[in-house]
Amino acid sequence: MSKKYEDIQTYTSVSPENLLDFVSRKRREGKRLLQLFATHLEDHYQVIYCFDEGDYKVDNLRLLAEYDDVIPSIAEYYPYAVPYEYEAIELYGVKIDAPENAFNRKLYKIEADTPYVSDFER
Amino acid sequence: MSKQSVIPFGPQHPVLPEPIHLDLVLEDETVVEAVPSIGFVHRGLEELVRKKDFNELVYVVERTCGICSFMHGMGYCESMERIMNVTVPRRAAYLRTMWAEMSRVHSHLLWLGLYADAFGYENLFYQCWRIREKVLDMFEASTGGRCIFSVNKIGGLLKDVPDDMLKGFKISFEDIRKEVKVIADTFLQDLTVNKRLRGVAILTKEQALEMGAVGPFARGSGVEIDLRETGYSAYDELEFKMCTEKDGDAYARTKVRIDEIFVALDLINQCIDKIPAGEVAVVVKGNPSGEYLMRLEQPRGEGTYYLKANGTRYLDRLRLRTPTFANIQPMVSILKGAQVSDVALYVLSIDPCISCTER
Repeated sequence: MSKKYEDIQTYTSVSPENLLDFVSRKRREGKRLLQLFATHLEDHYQVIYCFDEGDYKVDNLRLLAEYDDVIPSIAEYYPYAVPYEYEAIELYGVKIDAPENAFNRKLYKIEADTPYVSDFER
Repeated sequence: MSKQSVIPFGPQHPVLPEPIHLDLVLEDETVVEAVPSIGFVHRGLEELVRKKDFNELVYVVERTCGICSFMHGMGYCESMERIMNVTVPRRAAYLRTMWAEMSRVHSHLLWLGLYADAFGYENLFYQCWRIREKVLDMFEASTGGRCIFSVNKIGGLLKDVPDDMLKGFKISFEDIRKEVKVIADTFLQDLTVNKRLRGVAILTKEQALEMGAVGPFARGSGVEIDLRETGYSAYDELEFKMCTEKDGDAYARTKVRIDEIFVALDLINQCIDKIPAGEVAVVVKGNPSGEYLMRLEQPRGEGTYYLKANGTRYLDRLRLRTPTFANIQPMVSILKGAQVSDVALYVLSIDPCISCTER
């Protein structure tokens, strides 16, 4: 049989204050960042940072934050996180302290600012 | 230091089937930096979770891409089935796997044709796409579609494939294998093609890991990641070998994709030989509640499907991370040092799918 690995996914709660502690540890341990993405929930938003722990196991850092919270950028540890951070900023309006000089300051050439925020309430 | 100038590349370009824009910072004709921007055909599919219920979303997700359409629908359904604790019948799992590998074959043939056209081999382009048409014919015969297939549903498939048709496919794929072997020899042995592809657009293994490259782009640099090893769908009962190369250049990426066509043809054969009889769907009742991150190996690499359901018909979140989005950063890195006339060939070497990225 070809199957070698089990499908294991875990979730770890983090806050804007301790996010970088967790991420720097992932970096030291050589974990691969799969992606990060934002989700609007009723009165706050959620950002999930997905890491491949090796052998295809996934650990997701779940960050819950108020709309006004500023989330630190993880670009210092994972430079390729920047497009994901810009996506969360430009489409979902998440406040992330991302490097300002990347992508000529705008990744998505779209007219609307944060198009997925204003009409969020279903 | 030479004077720097900035010239635009795209979003409309003869070599790009889809729009992406690069600001190329040049010193003389050498690229010293490339700044990408996207969004020219952004469709906001992820936000349709507000308007389409979780069953209808299958058809939305399929429309993420016209090449790996089937695999998008499959990724969404498998993610939802895990949330709802639904086990699809094995026959459905085998058919999904077969169609997924057929998608890989036609996607790689499409890319090989485009790449041949880009480096000046128009006839090779025609040959690649002629073979690809045969795969699309089999898609049409078995699903009814050539681009959007609409056979996946949560709980299995909307239609079965008769065993006689599967046996016919096996014969057709043997013919395709012989034809691919001929064009593969041209790609891998021809002196001019070798000179054009070897030692250019290099991404080292360290760079690939450092920048999060996925798929054949990463495997061409020796990174051993192939989500099929996790055994989703019917892959847990099939044998296959991950294709990797070490050189990290355009030739290595080409070789990986050609090797993957042959592996995919083997997997299709195995599916047809091992497929069990039985139903292709189970009844699914109720609304989903929970979350799941599904990963599968698309033709261009690792695609992720995160679903967050709240117990209603409408999801809180549908997140698609397409392989090309992950490959943008490493693509930019291989452009540094390129001659401006080679940029198109370098960009195309990663097999970018911008419509996926602009979900």
